[in-house]
Amino acid sequence: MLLTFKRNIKMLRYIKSFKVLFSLVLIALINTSCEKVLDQLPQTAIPSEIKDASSARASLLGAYDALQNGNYYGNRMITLPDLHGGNLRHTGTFPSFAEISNRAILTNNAEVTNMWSTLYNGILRMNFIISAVPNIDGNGFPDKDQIVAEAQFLRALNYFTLVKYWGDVPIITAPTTKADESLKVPRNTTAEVYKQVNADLDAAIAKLPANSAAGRANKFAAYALKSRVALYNKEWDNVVSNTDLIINAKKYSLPASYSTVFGTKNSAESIFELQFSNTDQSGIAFFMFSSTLGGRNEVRPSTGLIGAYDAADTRKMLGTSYDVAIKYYRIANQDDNILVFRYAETLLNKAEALVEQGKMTDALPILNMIRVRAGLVASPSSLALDQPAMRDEIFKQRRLELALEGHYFFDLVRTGRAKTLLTGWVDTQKLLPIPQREIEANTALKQNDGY
Amino acid sequence: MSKKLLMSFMFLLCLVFKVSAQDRTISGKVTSSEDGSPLPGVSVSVKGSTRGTVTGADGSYKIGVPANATVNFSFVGFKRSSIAVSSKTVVDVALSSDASEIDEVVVVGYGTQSTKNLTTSVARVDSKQIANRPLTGLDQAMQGAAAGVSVTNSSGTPGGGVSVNIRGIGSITGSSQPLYVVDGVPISTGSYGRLGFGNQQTSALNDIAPSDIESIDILKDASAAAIYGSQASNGVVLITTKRGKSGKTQFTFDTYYGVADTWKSGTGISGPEEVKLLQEMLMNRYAVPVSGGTFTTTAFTGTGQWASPADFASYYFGAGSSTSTVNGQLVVVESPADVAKGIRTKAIFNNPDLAANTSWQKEVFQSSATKNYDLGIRGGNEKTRFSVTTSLYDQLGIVKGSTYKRFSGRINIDHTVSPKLNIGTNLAFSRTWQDRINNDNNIYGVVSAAFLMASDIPVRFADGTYGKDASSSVDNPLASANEPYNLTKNGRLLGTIFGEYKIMDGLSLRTSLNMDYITYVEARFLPTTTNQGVGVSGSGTETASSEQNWTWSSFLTYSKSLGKHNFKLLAGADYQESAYEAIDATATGFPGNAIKRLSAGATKSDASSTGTSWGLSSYYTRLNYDFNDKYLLTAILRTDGSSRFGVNNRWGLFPSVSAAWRISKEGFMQDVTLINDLKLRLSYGSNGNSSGIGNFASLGLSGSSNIAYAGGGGLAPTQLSNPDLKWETNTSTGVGFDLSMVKNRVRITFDYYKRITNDLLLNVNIPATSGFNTVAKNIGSIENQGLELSLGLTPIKSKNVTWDATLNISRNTNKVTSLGGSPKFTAGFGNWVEEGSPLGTFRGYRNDGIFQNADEVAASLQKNTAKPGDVRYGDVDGNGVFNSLDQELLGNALPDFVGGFDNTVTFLGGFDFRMFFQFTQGNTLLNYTRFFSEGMNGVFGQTQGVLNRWTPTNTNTNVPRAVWGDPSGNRRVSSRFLEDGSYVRLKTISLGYNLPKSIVQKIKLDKVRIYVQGQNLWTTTKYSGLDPEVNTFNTSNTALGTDFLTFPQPRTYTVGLNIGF
Repeated sequence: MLLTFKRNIKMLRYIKSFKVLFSLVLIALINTSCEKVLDQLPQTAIPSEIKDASSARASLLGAYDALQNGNYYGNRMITLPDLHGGNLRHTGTFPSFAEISNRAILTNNAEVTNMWSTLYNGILRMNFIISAVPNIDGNGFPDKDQIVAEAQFLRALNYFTLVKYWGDVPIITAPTTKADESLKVPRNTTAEVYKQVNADLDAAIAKLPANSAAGRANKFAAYALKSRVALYNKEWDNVVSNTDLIINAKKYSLPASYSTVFGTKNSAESIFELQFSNTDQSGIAFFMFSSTLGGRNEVRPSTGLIGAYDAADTRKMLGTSYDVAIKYYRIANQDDNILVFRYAETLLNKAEALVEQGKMTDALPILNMIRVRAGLVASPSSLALDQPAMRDEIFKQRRLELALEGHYFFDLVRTGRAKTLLTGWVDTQKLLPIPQREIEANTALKQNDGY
Repeated sequence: MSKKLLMSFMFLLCLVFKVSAQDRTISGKVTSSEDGSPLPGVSVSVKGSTRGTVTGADGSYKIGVPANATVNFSFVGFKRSSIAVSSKTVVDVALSSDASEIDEVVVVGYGTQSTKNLTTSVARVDSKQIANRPLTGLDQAMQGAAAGVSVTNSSGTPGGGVSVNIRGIGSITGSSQPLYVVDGVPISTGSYGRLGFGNQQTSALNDIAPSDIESIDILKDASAAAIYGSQASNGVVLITTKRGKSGKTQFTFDTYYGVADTWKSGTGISGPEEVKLLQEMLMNRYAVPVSGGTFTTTAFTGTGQWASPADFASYYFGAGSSTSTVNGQLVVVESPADVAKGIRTKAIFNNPDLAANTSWQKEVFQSSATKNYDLGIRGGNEKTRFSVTTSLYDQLGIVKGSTYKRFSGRINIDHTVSPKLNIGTNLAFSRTWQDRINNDNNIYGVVSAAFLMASDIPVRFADGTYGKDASSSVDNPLASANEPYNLTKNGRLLGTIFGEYKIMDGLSLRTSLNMDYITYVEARFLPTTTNQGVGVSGSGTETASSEQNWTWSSFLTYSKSLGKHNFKLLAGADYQESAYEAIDATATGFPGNAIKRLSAGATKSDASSTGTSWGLSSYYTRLNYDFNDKYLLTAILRTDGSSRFGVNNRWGLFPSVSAAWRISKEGFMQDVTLINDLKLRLSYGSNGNSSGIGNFASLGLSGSSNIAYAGGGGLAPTQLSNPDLKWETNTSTGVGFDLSMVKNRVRITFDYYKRITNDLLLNVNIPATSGFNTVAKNIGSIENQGLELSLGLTPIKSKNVTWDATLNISRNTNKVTSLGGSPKFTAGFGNWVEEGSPLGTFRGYRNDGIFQNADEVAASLQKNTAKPGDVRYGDVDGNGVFNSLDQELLGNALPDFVGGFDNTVTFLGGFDFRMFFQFTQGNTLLNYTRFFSEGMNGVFGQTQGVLNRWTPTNTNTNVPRAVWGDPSGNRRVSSRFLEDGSYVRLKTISLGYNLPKSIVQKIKLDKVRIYVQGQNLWTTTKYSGLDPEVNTFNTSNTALGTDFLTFPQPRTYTVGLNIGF
C-alpha cells in the first residue's frame, strides 16, 4: 500500500516534469515567436530609393565615387591610355596589361571588361539621380537642380569615355530596376552618343554653379568637357568658344611651377579634380613604384616618353624608379588626386583648335605659356608660319604636359598619328573590343571590327 | 500548411500516453560467452509487451516482469537470447557472438538506426580511421574512406581549407559543401578570416579535434539527408563525439611526433640558365646583337615594350643604369649600386656563369615538426557518465612562416535523473593560433615568390639586406616568409544542453539548446623590410569578428511494434539563427618595426565594421516501418523557412521516401548459406540549398560600403531585387544493394544514383550596361549520376593473423543540363560553364604545335604577331580570323574515378599494420604556375620545362621560344598547360605494437601501444607541379583543378604512443 503510494508520488513527479518539458515543446511549436528568426534585415544596405534631399545628396557622392574606381580614374583611365600608346611600358604580372601594351587585346581582357562595367555602373548611379531627384519636393532642397546637373555632367563624361574607347555603345538613360529581356539593347551610333553627351552637358551648364566645393563639378568643368568633346569631333569653333568661356572668366591660371599642379591639391589650375584620401585611395602610385619602394612595378614611364623631354623640362619624370614628386608619388597614403580637367589642357585645346583654324599666331603665345611654365624657352614666332610644325609642337606638348593623365592613346588616334608612331598599327586597334562577357549576355551587341 | 500538419501529428503522438502496471522485478548480469566480460548496452525486453531496458556498464539490468514472462536479450553482433523467467528473480545471461549478422548502429540525424534496417546510403568513418593520423581536421579523415565522397585538399597550408563533394557538385553559385552536424548540432563551417592572403583560406571545421570523434556518418543520398531538408542538398556529415561510460574511470593518453617535408621541390632552373634565358628573350624580341655589353641602335624601333637601348639597359641592369654612345654604338653604364649588389651586372651579362644561383624553392621549404597530445578521462556510474578530453596540436608548416596550433577541450556529461529522464551537456572549446603566409595568386606569396623570383638573385645582398629584384613585382621569398607578422587567433565554443524524457514505453521527447560561437582576431604587421611595408613605413591591420549561431531543436520519437509490424515515428521542430559582426582597422606610418599594434601607426588609414544575419525555421517528421525486419520503409517530410528568401518563396517542402528488401530474410534464401545478408535498397528524395548566396540576395539594395567621396558618405545601388528568389532543389533517386557472404568475409555495397538540381541558385551574368554584372536567379539545372562500389574482404582470419581490406571506388559524371538561357561564362583561369558540359570543363585555344619557319608563319592567321618558335593556334571556328572565339573544350577537372584502398592487418597478438591508398583517376589539372614559370616572357623565375624550349637548333619540342613580353600570346590557356592530374598516393602506412598485457599490467597500465606512421610517403603521378592534390580556388564549384603557385601537401613521418590506464 505504502509502496503503491510512493510509486504514485514518484509518478506524479514524473508526470509533472513531463508536463513542463512537453509544454516547452508546445511553446516551440505553436508559439510562432520562434519564427521571428526569419525576419532579418541587412545592416550595411538599405532599399534602393532616392526619396529626399539627404538620399539625393548621398547618391550624388555615390556617383562621384564611381569615378574613383580603380577601373576608371582611380587607376586604369590614367595608366591604360598611356600604356596603350607607349608612354608607359609594362613591367608587371598582369596578362591583361601585357595585351594592352602589345596591342594584342583579347575580347576577354579583364581590364576591358572591368572598365566597361564600371563605366555603366557609374551611369546607373547617375541615371538613378537624374530620374528620381526631379520628383522630390523642392521645399528645403535648394540644391535639387544642381544635383541633377552634376549627375548630367558626370553621365556626359562617362559616355564620352565609352565612345572614345568603344565607338558605338548602347545609350542607357533610365535606371535599371529589374533584370529582364529589356536589358538586351543594341549599340547606338557614335553620333548618337555624342548627341547624348552634348545634350547632358547643355542641360548641366544651365544649372551648374560657377563655384563649387573642391572635387565637385561646376560650370567650367562642363565647358572643359565640352571643349574636349569638340576637339575630338574637330569642331574647332566649339573648342574655341568653350575654352574662351573658361579663360575669360579668369578663375583659373597656371601656377608658376609645374610641380605645384600635382604637389598641391586643388591648385589654381584645377578645374575638376577628383579627391582622394588615405581611406579612399587611388592605385596609381602603387602601380608605378618599383617593388622595392613599396609599389607593384606594374607599369613604368617608358624611355620613349622620358627621352622626349628636354633636359631643362621640369615635367620630366624618371623611368627606372618612379619615385619623384611629379604626378603620382604619394605612395604612403596613395591619396594622389586625379586632375580630370585642368587649365593647361584648356589652353592646349584652344591652341590646337586655333592652329587647325589657321590662326597660328594666336595659338603660339598660348603654347608658349605651357612651354615657359615647364622651364623651356618660348618657341620663336617663326614657328607660327609653319602649320605642320605647329601641329607637331602642340602634339608634343600635349604628350609631355598631359602624360599619364589618360590622353596619349586618344590623342594618337584622333590626330591620325597612331599609324606613324605606333609600330604595326592596324586601324581597328583604335577601338577596344566589346567585352566577350557582354556579347554573351547581350546578343543584340555586335563586336567591333578586328576582334 | 505542411507545418500545421506536422503539429497535429505531434498531438496525436501524445494521446497514446499511458502507463502500464508491473508485477515484479528481476535483475541479472549479461556477459559475453567468449570471455565472460560484461556487456553494457544490451537491450532487455519482455516478450509481448513494450517494456524494455538496457544493461549498464557492468552488464547488469533490472526489469519489471509479469508472471510467466519471457525476456529477450539482444545486442549487436551477438545471438539473441530468449529466457523464460518462471519464478527466478536473478537471471544471468551469457550471449554468444553471432558471426552471421554484422550490424552496427549508425547516426542518421535526429536519432540512430541499425545498419541492417537502413534503407538509404550512409557511409561510416570510425575512430580507427581518424585516430593517430596527423590530420588537422575531420574532413581530411574522410578522404578516400567512403565511396561517393570526394575530398580535395586545396593545398598543404597548415589549417587550410578542404573541399568535400558528396556525389558530385550540384550547384554553381550555391555552396556544394555538405552540412556538418556535431552531436545533433549543425555547425558553422568555412573561412572566417577577413584578411587577404591569396587564395588559401582558413577552415572553421578544424576547430574540432579529430581525437574527440567517435564516428563520422555521411548521409549521401537525398532520402537519407532529407531530414535536414534545406541544408542537406550536398549531403550531411554527422559527427559523434566520444562519450563516457559507467564503470572504472579510464584515462587515455595519446601522443605523436611527426616530421614533415615536401616530397618534391627544386624544379627551378639555375641562375646562369636564368641569365642566358633572359638574354635569349631580349634577343628574340629585339634582335639585339649582344657583345661586350653593346647594342646597335637600329634594333630599337617602335614604341612598345622597349623603346630604346637605354630603356632596355635601365631595365636589365637595374635602377640607375643608363647608356651612352661609343663609336655609334650604345654602351651600358652600370650604376655603382647595382654593381655592389652583384645582380645583372655587365660582367654577369657577358658571363652568365658568374650569376648567383639560388634555389628559392629549397630556401622556403623546411623540415618541420608536428606534435599532438590528447588526454582523455572517461567514466561514471549508473547515474552520471562523463568524458573529459583535452588536446594540443602543434604543426609547423613545410613552408617557412606558416604554423597552426590548436588547443581544445571537450566535456560531455550524461546524467540519468530517473529512468525516464536523462539530461546532459556537451561543451567543446578550442583556441587556435595560426601564422599565415601570403600564398597562391599573390606577388607577396611565399611559394609564389619562390617560383617567380629568378634564381640569379641572391638570397641576401652583400650588405645583408634581402636580395630583391627591383625589376620584378615579387618580393624576396624569404622576406615574405619571415618578415610579416600575420597571426590569426580563433576561439570556438560549441555548447549543448539537452534533456530526454521517456514519456512512456516507446515514446520519448528530446530537446536541446545549442550554441556555436566563433571569434576571430587577426593581426597583421608588414614591416619596412617587405615590399608591402616599405612604401608606407610599416602597415598594420587588425580585425575582430564573431559569429553566434544558436539552434533550438526539439523532437518526439515513438516506437511501436504490432506483431511483425514495427513502427518508429519522429516529429520535431528546429529554430536556428546566426549573427555575424566584424570590425577592421588599418594604420600606416610606424616608428620602426618593433611595435606592431595600431596605436603606433601615425595614420589610421582605414576603419570599418559590418554585420549580417540569417535565420531558419524547420519542422520535420520521419516514419520508419519494417515488416518482420524484411521489408523496410522510411519516409521523411521536412519544411523549412529561410530568411534569405523573399516572403513569397520563404518556405520549401522537402519529401523523401526509401525502401529496402532484405532478400536474405526470405524463406527461399535460408538454404543459400553462402550469403549471410542481402539487401536491396531504393530511394527517392528531394532537398534544398540556400547556402552560398548572400543573406539578402532577394532584395534591391543600395549600399554605402566604401562609397564615400570628398569627405561625405555616399550611396549607390548595389543589388537588383529578385522577389521570386527561392530554394535550389536537389532531387535524387538511387538504387543499391548490400551483400555479405562467405561468413561475412566478403562484403559488397553497390549504389547507383541520379541527382538532379533544378532552379539553380545562379548569379546570372546580365548585360553590364544595366549597371549590374549579375543578378541572383533560380535558373538552370545540373545532373550528377554515379556508381559507388565498396568491397570489403577479410582474406585471412586466423588465430594469429587477421587481414581486413576495403576498396571503395566511385564514379560521378556531372553535366550542366541547363542554364535557362542565361549566358555561358568563364570561371577561374581556364574553366568554362555551358549547357551540356560538366562543371570543371577547361576551355582554351587549340595548340597546333610550334611554327618552325617564316613560311609557316606567313601562311598563318598569326602572321602579324608570330615568329618561328611561337605557338601555332588553330582557327577553331574556321572563319579565317584568329581571335578569342577560337577556343574549344580541352578537358575536365573532375575525375573519372576516385577511391581508396585500406588494409589493416593484426598479427602475432600485439601488432597492427595499416596501409591506406587513395587515388584519383582521369582528371585534368591546369598548371597555371607554368603560365609564369614557363612563360619565358620577363624576369620571373623559370622552371625546368623551359630548358626544352624551341630554338633554331631544338625544333622538335612543344615548348615555344623565349621572347620578351610574349607578343604572340604563347601563354594562352591551351593543351600546353593542361596535365593529367591522376595519382595514386600512399596516404597512410602505419605499424603499431600493443605491449603484452603481462608487461602492461606490471607498470599498472591497461594498454600501451607504440607505432610508427607515414603520411603521403609515396605518390605516383604524371603531374609536373609540386603536388597533384590541389585547387587554388578552394571550394569553388566552377573554378576547379587549378594549380597556381600553391602550397604542396606535406610528407610526414610520425612516431606515436597510446596509453590507457
